Amino acid sequence: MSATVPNIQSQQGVDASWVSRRWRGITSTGFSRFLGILAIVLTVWLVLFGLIFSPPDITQQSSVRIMYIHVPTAWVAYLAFGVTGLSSAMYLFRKKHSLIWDRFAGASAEVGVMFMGLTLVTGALWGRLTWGVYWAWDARLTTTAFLFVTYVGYLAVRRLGGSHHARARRSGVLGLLAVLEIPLVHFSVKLWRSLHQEASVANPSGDVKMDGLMLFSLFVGLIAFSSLYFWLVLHRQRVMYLEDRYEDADLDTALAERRAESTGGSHG
Amino acid sequence: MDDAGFIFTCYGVTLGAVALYIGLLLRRARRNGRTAKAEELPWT
Amino acid sequence: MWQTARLVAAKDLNIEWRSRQVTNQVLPFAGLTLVLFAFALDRDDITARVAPGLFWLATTFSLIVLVQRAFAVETSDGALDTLRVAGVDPAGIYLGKSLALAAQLIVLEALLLLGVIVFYASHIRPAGIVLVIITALLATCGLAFVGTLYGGLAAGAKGRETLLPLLLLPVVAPVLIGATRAFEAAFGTRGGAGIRAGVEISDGWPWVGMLAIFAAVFGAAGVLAFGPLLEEA
Repeated sequence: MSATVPNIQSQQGVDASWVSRRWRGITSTGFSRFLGILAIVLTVWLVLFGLIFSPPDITQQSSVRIMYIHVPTAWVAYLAFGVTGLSSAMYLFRKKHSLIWDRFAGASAEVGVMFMGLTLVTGALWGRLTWGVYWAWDARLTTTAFLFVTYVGYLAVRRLGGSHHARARRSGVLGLLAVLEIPLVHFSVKLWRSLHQEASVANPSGDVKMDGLMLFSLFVGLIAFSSLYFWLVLHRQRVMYLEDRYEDADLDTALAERRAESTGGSHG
Repeated sequence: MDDAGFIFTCYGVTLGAVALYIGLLLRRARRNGRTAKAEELPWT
Repeated sequence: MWQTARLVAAKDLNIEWRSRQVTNQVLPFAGLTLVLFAFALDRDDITARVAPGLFWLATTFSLIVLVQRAFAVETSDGALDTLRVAGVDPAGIYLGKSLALAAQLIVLEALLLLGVIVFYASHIRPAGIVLVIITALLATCGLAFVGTLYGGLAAGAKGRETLLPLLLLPVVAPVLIGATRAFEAAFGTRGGAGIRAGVEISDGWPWVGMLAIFAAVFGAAGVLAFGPLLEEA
């Protein structure tokens, strides 16, 4: 694919609309620009409220500030995987088998994996501060780690190759299986922990008394990351469309060349 | 602020990762969208 | 559907019987893992205590090898495509391949159990024999169903050798947990050195229930999903 890139670059000067689009961003629309600006403003708010305006917690002191990041990332990751499952179902069960659902599933999973990774990292940091350890074999943590690995596998399956519909079918089935698998994993891990020891750590959010400003900071975080998520998925989906299109174009030229070759051969 | 190192790491890693992802996304968009005409794209 | 399943299972087992690949390669591999675990853990009292977990780990690793093998047979000369084009019921293919896989796993587990008893000096409590057998059967069903489903998902794709473990291992984790706890109850390990004073046989049965749910859920999912997975564009 990379071999064809210089070839295309040479068209820059010719295609006038490309130049103007370059500065607007090819995948953006009025709505997504609005969403993007909203996400940036809210993220700045989140940093201000999370780090400066909100008071330290009585029991956790400043480490509670990690919560404003950690909880929204976790929420977005779960939201993203839910959207992946839903989109997978839409692709598989709707008569049209529209690839747009497949792209939404893939885009959402990718964004979800990133946020789940961040959830694990920020959670480890928070755990080190409040529990004294980076990791505890608590049911919720373990399920989260499994979700992460499962969707990393999902993304790997999407890269297996084949036609777009083959990819969509394969990953669609996997997306639904993941939804099936998660309750089983959670249930088994919970049973496992409850059978032989109480989770050695207190529920991190249970005993936190939240005052108004802390709750507001958390709320800002949730909204900020949610809008960020929608912006990311929208754009990732559009980039995926462009990638698919590019691949198809490559395939078409290759096919045309092959066809020209073979007809030329038969004539000669 | 106590534990500043942990907290700044947490904010930095998260926002940095998101920024990095957006950067990669926009680069991919530009690379794959070179041949696309605005009229052909379903969202324009 | 059942007719197809029986034929596919018979075909798979027949191929296996002729090639002896499982007997000559997978069984030694499983035995080797047991020995390597013993090297790594290095102490007799520890190996005896963690024997159930090691048993199921060895089984899980062997499962991956077996699934690779089961689908390499199908995809190497396009046999799966032929079956599909011939209009064979995909649910039947799925059940048949699961059945064959389960049969191979059972043989493997029987020998591994012997290995655990010999190498790790485990002993099954007489009252636990029923628990061991039922656990092994249900866990095997679950492993075979999941293995066939994910094997079919990755079949025919490039790089599936490395992909399969990534897909399969997180999914079989509940089986690993459940079957291990049930075996611990039957073996009576964890006693004394464990967190609790001892393990009753009855502690194993909730896990058996979970294994049954797991097998049923993934069996149903596989029957439904195998058709769409096989039709490659």
